[in-house]
Amino acid sequence: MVISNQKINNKKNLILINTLRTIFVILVALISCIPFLWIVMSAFKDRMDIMSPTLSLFFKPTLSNFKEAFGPSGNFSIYLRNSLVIGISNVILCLITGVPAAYSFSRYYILGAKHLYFYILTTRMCPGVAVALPLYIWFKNLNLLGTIPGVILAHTTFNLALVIYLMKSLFDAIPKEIDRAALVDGYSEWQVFTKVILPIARPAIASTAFLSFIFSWNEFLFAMILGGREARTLPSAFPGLVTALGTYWGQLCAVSAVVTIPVIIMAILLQRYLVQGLTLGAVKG
Amino acid sequence: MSDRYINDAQIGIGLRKAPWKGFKWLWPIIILLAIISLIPWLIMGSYSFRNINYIDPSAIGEYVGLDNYRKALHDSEFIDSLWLTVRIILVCLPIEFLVGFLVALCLASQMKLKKWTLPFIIIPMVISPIVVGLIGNLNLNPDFGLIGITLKNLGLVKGSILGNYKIAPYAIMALDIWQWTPFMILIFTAGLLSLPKAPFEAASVDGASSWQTLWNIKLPLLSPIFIIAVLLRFTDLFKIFDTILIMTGGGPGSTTENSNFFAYKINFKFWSLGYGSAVVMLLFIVSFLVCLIFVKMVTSKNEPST
Repeated sequence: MVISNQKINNKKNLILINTLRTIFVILVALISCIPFLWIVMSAFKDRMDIMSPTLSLFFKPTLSNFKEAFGPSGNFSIYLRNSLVIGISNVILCLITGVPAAYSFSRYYILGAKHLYFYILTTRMCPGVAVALPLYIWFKNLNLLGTIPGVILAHTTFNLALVIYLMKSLFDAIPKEIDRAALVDGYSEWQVFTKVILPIARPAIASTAFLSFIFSWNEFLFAMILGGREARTLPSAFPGLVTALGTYWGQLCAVSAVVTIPVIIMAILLQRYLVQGLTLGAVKG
Repeated sequence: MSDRYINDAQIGIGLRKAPWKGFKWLWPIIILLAIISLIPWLIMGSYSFRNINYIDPSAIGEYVGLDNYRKALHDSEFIDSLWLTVRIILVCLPIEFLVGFLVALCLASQMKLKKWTLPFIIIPMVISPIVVGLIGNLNLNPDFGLIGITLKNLGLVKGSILGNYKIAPYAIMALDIWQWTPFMILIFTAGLLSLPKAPFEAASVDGASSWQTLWNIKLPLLSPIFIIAVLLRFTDLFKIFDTILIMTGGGPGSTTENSNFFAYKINFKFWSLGYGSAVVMLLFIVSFLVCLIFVKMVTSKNEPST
């Protein structure tokens, strides 16, 4: 009798703890997404509704902010195109150079590999201005300032490290016996890489590509300093809407929605790789 | 045995006698790193010893020795910006760590809850930091922002939040906590779920309390992940920029200028590139040393991963 009472008590405790946990987590989730949803909602409000001091959930939705920003009168369709061109070219450049490098880091004994590896790590970790300033000075000499190739090169400073770290941890997980077997079958080293290893790694390469695209798409500082007026991306166009005459809240919110919503969808689908990507392959998702 | 040796030699796996074998795969990134990193760094290094200012015609790029570095170490604005950076790290890192770990403990024990809430929780960390800055800016607006109005109605803050030099730095910190606690939640949850099962079964057989399991098994097993999380957050907290630019622009005065923003201001607002290069070099040395210490800690904890 006593024991069964205790059991019921334990069960009650467990339910109580689980409910408390659930409430806590849901609260955290709400805090995480409400400020963001506020921005998305504001994108569909006209100027009067955005500036209204009453926090009303009911308003007349309008697409005028999107039309102003992306229509013929606004420049944002050009910035959108720049963002896409820069993101995609950057991903291609990083994959072409980074994937073979990651393979060789995983398979070969390389003199000074640890130092090179550490060097790549520091390019990811030092403050943004410490990367942007040397590039600014160098690109000024090369006449690459304010050009799309300049921004593409600048974005490789962080995405190359991402590709190498992610792909190396993937190649490490593919047994070396596969390489050996293919070599015995008469494949050359290059054939082993392109015909045997790459097909196995294809899904991971795709995820890595999407993830590096997100990082390039979101990037602001390099695009602003090195891209100037001609190679402006969507994020680096934000400060242009905060003027001395006032802030174009509606357009800012509309652009925010366009910048963020594809990224959120991609990130949710890539959750597992997101963990690996953000920790440079150190934590498996 | 001899067969295997030949194969290893062909592919060069771990072969110390042929350390150049792997390099033929590496020349593309070596060239790329030279273009985007090594050469620009050498040029900037030389700038830091010269007097260069793009808007001052009297600065003709003459060699000034260590003057720029001396100036930086005596510049009270630079010291203040470093102090703000340290304060940001001291406030944000522990809060992000603790809240992140608490939520991760809840999520790891309830898979259904994790499945439905994690996609919402990660929103702040995946969206562009410039949008995060805008979210802070709009929501904290005292006239029409969600949080601004709420705080005003509660009587906690009078007038502008971002224009108040006492509160503005804390607004920056709060926004960073909002943005990056999800990162801690995400990687701690992944870490907790990847822990081996055997020690927990053994512990429950021995009748260990859940508190003992947490303290004696989970925490020690998670320590490599803790180190990585702290390292990554540390370096990112060191380089906050986007949110400061769009929220306060460093103001009011220079109260929300961290060291990264200060370096930006010297170089790209005042165009004093000689002095600015020295500031950037100093910042780089600091972050490099921190990086080195952490990497040493990580590699001593789990040798094979690096």
